[in-house]
Amino acid sequence: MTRPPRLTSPWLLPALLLPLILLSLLLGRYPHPPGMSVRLLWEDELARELVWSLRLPRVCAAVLLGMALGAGGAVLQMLFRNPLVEPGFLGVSQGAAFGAALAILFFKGAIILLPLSAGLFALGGLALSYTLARHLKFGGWIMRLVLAGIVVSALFSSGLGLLKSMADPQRELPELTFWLLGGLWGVSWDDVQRMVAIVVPALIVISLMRWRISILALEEATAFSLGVAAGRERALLVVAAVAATAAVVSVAGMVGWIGLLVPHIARRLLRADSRSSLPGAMWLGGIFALGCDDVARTLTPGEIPLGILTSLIGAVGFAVILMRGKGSARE
Amino acid sequence: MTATPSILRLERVVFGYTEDETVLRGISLSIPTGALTAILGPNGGGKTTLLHLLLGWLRPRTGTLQLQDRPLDAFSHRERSRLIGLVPQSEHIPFEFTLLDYVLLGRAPHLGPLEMPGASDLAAARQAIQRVGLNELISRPLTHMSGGERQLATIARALAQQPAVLLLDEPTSHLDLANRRRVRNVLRQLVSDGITVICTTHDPALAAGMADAIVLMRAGEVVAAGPTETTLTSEKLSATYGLPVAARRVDNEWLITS
Repeated sequence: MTRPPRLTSPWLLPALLLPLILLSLLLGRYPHPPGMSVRLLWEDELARELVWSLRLPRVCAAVLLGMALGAGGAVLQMLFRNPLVEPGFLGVSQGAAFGAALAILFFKGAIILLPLSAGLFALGGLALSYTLARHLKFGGWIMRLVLAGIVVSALFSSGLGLLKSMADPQRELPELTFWLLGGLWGVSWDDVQRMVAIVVPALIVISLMRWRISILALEEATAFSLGVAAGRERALLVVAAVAATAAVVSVAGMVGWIGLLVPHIARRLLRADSRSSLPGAMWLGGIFALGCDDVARTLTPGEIPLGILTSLIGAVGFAVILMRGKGSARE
Repeated sequence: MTATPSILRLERVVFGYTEDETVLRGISLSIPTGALTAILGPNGGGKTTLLHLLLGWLRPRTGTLQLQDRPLDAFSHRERSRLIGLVPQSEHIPFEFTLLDYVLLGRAPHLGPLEMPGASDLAAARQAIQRVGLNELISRPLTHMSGGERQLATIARALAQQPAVLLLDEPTSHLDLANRRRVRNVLRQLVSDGITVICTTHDPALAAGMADAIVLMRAGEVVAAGPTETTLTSEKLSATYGLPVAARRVDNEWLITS
């Protein structure tokens, strides 16, 4: 049994994130790619302004996005005893996107309604997937969850299509379409504030329960025999994971695959035990999303939508993990 | 079984999952303390349901359950979880937990909701692993273990709870002969350490080979209950399974044929 070497220190990932954040502040297309020097930051007023009001909020948003999706994916995978689950698979992301689009089209003025509507429909999507999975008469539990998730996601996608067809093709449609591709251009401090308000408490709840959640991955009767009020604790964690996802989607649009891929890598890099793998998925998600966003905004003059980049890397990475076998995806 | 003290007592327990369906039809039972009791009968007779009632996971429609002469309902969920452990028929985590990390989960009843296991919990988990004889696999992922090893791992997880009563649901039904023997020996050792073991099984030979007391169940009713020698008769077994079953003792070994 040969195993890849494992990270032993829990601080290694956060320690890696910090320099990456500093580096990301210098990266960009100003004054010319791949970025500016530290000296320029001293000399150039414009550079300082740019870093403060454009790059820093964007870097914060990318890190928050990755942490929320990485930890959220890890939580849902544990709770549903299913290594193939991610928010996008269970109708959470699509629900959030639908809810956000609904808010964009119909409640344009009220910015506060956007995350609320996203969150509501995200939870609705999850509830619908779960209920449907329980009633499907085909395959095992994992198969049924994935199938139900596909159905619910497709429902929301068609709803989203409907909204698009109703949108004003001159003003609203381009905005909606570009937003749906997923990305962090134009993220302001206000956006970051709204993300922090939801993502940080959710991540704190998830972190505090990082051992407990393993017990919730056991069967109902077993969790009960261990004295755990599984229903309540599970609901709390699901709400935390879904709220964090919805908050992220309402700012960044659809950024997929982070929630699926990152927990897998975290389990392999660290241990499967959620005491390590859950914080691991959180930090790794932040690193992954920030790295992707750096590439997305630096590589080409026009920006590559972040969602496209994460899907590309995520899908290829996931295929590699599955092909190498012996992964945490095995049953 | 009036001579031996009983740890669990059931009186006229009736249970059904829905209003118009009755799974257990008035069960009255005493489970002897510090013995191995097998709940034996054909599949679908309500054995697992009975186990879940003993756990407190299901509640009877009518009738009473007593644990250590106190109504089961009078215990808090947490108190109960320190007294009764459960080994389900097959337990499965689709992630590569190591044996130690997995067994450590059994410490939950002794920890607060946000507490992490500490040194004493680690010691208890190691001891539980030692009791089932899996020391050498302590850092091996469960996904790389055989069926027998995994069953022993689940027993260790329940032992880490340090329970007075251990409930097992068909503990050996999917194991080969060698592993059956291994599990049986571990369970016998636990009984001699003073733990009350209750397991369900559909296999009379298994019950005969390890149980001190037997409860024969059929269609939600107790056919007979008592010490193995007096309960495991051809007549009672035949009534339980609805077909001729012969039970004999040859040289201190049970021989069961049908």
